[in-house]
Amino acid sequence: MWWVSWRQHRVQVMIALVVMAVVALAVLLFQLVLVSRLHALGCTVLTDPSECNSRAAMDAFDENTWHLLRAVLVATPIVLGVFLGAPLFPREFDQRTEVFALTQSVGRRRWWTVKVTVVGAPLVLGLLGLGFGTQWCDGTTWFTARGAMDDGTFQVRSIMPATFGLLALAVAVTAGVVVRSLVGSLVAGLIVAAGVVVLIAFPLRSHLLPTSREITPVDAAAASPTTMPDPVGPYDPGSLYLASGLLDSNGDPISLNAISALCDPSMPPLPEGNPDQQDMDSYNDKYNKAWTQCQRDNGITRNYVDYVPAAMLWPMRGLVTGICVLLAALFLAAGAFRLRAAPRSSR
Amino acid sequence: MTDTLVDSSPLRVVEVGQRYGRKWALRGCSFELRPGAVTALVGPNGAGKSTLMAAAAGLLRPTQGRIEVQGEVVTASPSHPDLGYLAQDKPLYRQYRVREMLEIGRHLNARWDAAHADALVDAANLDRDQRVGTLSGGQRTRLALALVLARRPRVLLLDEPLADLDPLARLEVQQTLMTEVVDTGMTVLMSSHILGEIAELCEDLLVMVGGSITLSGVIDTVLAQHRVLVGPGTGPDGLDFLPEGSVVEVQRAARQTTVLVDRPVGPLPIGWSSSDPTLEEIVVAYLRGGGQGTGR
Repeated sequence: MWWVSWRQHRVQVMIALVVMAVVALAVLLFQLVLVSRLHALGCTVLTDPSECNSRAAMDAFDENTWHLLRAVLVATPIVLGVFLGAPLFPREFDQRTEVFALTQSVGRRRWWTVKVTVVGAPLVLGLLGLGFGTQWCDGTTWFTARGAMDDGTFQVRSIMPATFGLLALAVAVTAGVVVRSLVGSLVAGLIVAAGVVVLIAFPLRSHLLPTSREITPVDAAAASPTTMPDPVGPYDPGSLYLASGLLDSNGDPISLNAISALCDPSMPPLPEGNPDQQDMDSYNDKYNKAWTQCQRDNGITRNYVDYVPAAMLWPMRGLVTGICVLLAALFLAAGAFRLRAAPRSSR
Repeated sequence: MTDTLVDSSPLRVVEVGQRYGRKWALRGCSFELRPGAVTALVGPNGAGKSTLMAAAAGLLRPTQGRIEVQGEVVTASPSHPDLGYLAQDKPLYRQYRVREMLEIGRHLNARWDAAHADALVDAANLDRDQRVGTLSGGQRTRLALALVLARRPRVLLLDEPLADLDPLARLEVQQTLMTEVVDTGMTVLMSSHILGEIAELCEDLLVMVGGSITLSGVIDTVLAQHRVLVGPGTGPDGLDFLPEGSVVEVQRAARQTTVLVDRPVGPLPIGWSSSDPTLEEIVVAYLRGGGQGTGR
């Protein structure tokens, strides 16, 4: 059975492995170009943020290509999982070769297990290679090594591509068993797999672990009536940033609109007539002082930053992987159960 | 193939029902095959022949009843090792070459007679490098048959194996099949629409209508038991001389009544004559919805 399944699906598996190799090569080339540019600028130590952080070094980092590569890396496990999983059974149903296979010395469970494993194992192993390869490449400069928990980075390093690939494969395999047509299962598999993976990989993961909050006094000089404070503070920059802002006297986050509602009545009026630059500078100075005073009067004296600490990287990977593996198992079990039902093509 | 169940039957179907949604494809279907006999399964389209065979092959799980092969209850795949099944459309991997299909057969089966498969492929003059998708209908049937027979089955289920074949290909497949039956003594259940084919190949007969078996028996016995009676035009009362439950079919014309009965009838009234029916007459009468009968 293993030989037969490999013979059936080896072309798709090879194509998937080639795609992974090309993506890995693109990541490697990007990194080689970056390292080469930094060396040309005279940088020797590339992994220390205190070194090689001049404006010229920053410019050497091609941010657009970087973001494009991240998008490709995020999409690769989903697309390949669907590409390998969706056609697995519809092709058999289409040619009715499941009737041939299941009337030999092969049981349904074995048929199902071997076929899924033959495409699933290379996919997972290949994506593990891609994930750890990306992590290694990213680690060669501090530009690319930072933000391990950031969106677009968390999803493409270490075990995460393999995790998402496995889930996409399971969704697509089950779509194939339910929909039974090649095109239909590709479309349904892609939509459902992308939806489920993106939901877990992006918004859901930030709710899986307890968040930390750093509170700092408002910098009077930085206080502004038009913007919230930047999310800077003593928190580890490798953490996953969730939210930041100002706290009211009760310690609850308060929005800029709410502060405006409180402070606008006590703000100085605009200069009348046709004010010159000096009048406007004077007005702005008064306005900022009044704004800061208003904040103090209302007890708005503290900034906050909510985040998941960098130390939670592996627990987050573990939780996301656990959820994805569990969902993949549920999808595969549902598909296997569906396969036990009568073949629709039997008359 | 009798109402009395015997332990040695290679294939036994006991009160099998198969439901698709609200519709029953099989209902109360019971029979068993005689060891070593070639049995024809005849029925109109939609009678449930393919469903019955698929259930016996383990492709379907019957809603009711059970099917036994060599005394073991059939479960939902893998197929019983002693059972070979050839589906009507002979599904094979079209993208592969004949040689690769043989290799696939070898890998998918615990019991595989490669020499026999090779001999059957050679006898069919199949080019081993030709892709299955480019084979003619007859060639594909012979390759599919080689793949089934290489499993060395003791019970062979053939779902309309000769349909869509030209006369020459049909003859070749028939010869292959009969040679195999004679050489191995295997039991064969073969569904067919072609009554001439049945008379040539089969010893036993099963007629299936509406998902149930309405006639079963050894063909010679079935022929011997049934009689065609021809008499004057008459109403229902004019058939009172016939034993109760013996009438399979009555056809009335203005001046003549033709009755098929499933057992010998005593002295006939004046004006009535009796003759031997053909197998076709009997089968067609049952297919039209005639009575329930057995012949042994």
